[in-house]
Amino acid sequence: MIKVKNLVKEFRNDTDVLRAIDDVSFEVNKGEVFGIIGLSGAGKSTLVRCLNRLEEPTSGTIEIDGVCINDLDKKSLLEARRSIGMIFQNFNLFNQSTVYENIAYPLEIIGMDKKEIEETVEEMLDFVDLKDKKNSYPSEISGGQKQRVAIARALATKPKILLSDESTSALDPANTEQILNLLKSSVERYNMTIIMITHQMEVAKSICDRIAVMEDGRIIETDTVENIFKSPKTERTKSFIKSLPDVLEDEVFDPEDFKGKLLRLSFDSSTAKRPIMNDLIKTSNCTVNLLSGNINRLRNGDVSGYLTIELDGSPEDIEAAIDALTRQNVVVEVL
Amino acid sequence: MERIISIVLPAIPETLLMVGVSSLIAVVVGLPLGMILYTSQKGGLSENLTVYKILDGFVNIFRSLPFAVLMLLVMPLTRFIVGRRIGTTASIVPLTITAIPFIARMFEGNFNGLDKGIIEAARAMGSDTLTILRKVVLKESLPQIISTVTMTIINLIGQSAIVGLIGGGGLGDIAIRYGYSRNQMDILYAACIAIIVLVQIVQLVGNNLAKIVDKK
Ligand SMILES: Nc1ncnc2c1ncn2[C@@H]1O[C@H](COP(=O)(O)OP(=O)(O)OP(=O)(O)O)[C@@H](O)[C@H]1O
Ligand SMILES: [Mg+2]
Repeated sequence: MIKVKNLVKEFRNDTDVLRAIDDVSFEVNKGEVFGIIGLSGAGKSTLVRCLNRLEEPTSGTIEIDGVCINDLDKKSLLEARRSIGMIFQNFNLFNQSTVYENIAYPLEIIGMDKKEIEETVEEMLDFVDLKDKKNSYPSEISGGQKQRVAIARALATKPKILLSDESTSALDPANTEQILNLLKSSVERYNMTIIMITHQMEVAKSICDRIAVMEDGRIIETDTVENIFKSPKTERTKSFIKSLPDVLEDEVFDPEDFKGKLLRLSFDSSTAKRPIMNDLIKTSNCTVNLLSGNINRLRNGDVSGYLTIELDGSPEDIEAAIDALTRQNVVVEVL
Repeated sequence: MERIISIVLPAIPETLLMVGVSSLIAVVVGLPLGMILYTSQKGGLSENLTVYKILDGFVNIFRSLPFAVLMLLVMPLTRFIVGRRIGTTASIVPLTITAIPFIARMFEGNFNGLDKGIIEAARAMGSDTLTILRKVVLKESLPQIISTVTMTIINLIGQSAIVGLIGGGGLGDIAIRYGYSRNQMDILYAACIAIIVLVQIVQLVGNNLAKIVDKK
């Protein structure tokens, strides 16, 4: 669906060159929700803006549905953009236009006739559940509602791809969830492919199929959500994930404060359902003290979770307990 | 009293005519110029630095000339266009010429003041430059455009009084002819009051109009 190869984007001013995107390659499949995470300034927005050439790539190729986006002339580029929707952190609605006019805009510019526009706008208003706000102006509706209008506007032309640049960052948790549900149903209903930049762990977990981690203009790791969060391959991904806001695991334990050994156990779908703690408590000679934990249900129904526990006992017993856990496929980390 | 009215009253429509026609032409010419400045600037919708620099230079030159000087400077042009150098119709020429670069620069500022994200959203939806200008930039900056036009009209009312120095007609003209030259202070005061009232009305209408159309 989307193939990006050796993409480079440099910003030049008179004195120096900044490589915002540094040789990035990745592919996104149809119907997939592909997340991009990374520190501020990593190049996430620039990367996404290259995909519809709001930013001209310096080199590399971008192929969408077999069409090479780089080679398009002005006119074809405008047409290509109409099949790529985009939503933003600040919604970017037209302030002097009503909700209706906002959603009608992309349809007007493709020359749709009035009646058809009306039908489509009504359909979109229904989809985002804002029929009663049709004649309101953006200043008269809430942030969550604004983002729903922005989604309706972006999807009105039934694009194949939706680019989302931190579309939930300005919203409270309830509105965030509503927007995520809307995005999930647009994947199902319109068979969309979504590329989604986010800073929020919960967002990535709940909606993305795969995630790319960006740092200094490069993708340092791409994997399924489960793997990225459970067993990140690089140290930098690991520390980045820990630094993300919205992480429930924000309680930090200092091993010095405990007389036993502190362990962090990670579960995935196969291990989360088995009574592993029960087994541990029964078979081990150590005392087990639960300190914190959580379990997240991922989009595909899988679960991923962790537990922080304190094991108190002789070194041999602790060793044996860790062995037993590892044999059950639990990832054990000694803190 | 009757004398004052009979002198001042006919001057009001003259001023209105001069200001009205010159602001109308200034808007009609200045709006596209403002759009070209906005579009051609560095990082603009259709960047073209040659066009920008030339236009920018012209605007700066005209704006740096004091109106009184400009008025004298364009007299030959005035005679060429309207056949006379002085009078109400003749005054329209320097007034228009001073207003165009002013309003173009103000419009450019209005457009640049728009939220960049909104323009970006329009670009992402596949709009071409003209469509963005027509359907987004114009519409989104309408309240600011109204304020700019209001300010231009008020400036022109002031400048139309200066035209009186060369017998340009209107309120400024009678203020000079009667008030200054013949020392008839009552006429001077009456003309002043008429100008003040005019400015107040324009300001009031402009402010309210801008407020009414602004949905933000
Ligand atoms: N138009 C531009 N001109 C010059 N430099 C730019 C431009 N746009 C972005 N950059 C630089 O490119 C780098 C990547 O920016 P980008 O906005 O893509 O980061 P990001 O990952 O989206 O960050 P954030 O999480 O803060 O949104 C930054 O160093 C930024 O300063
Ligand atoms: Mg960004």
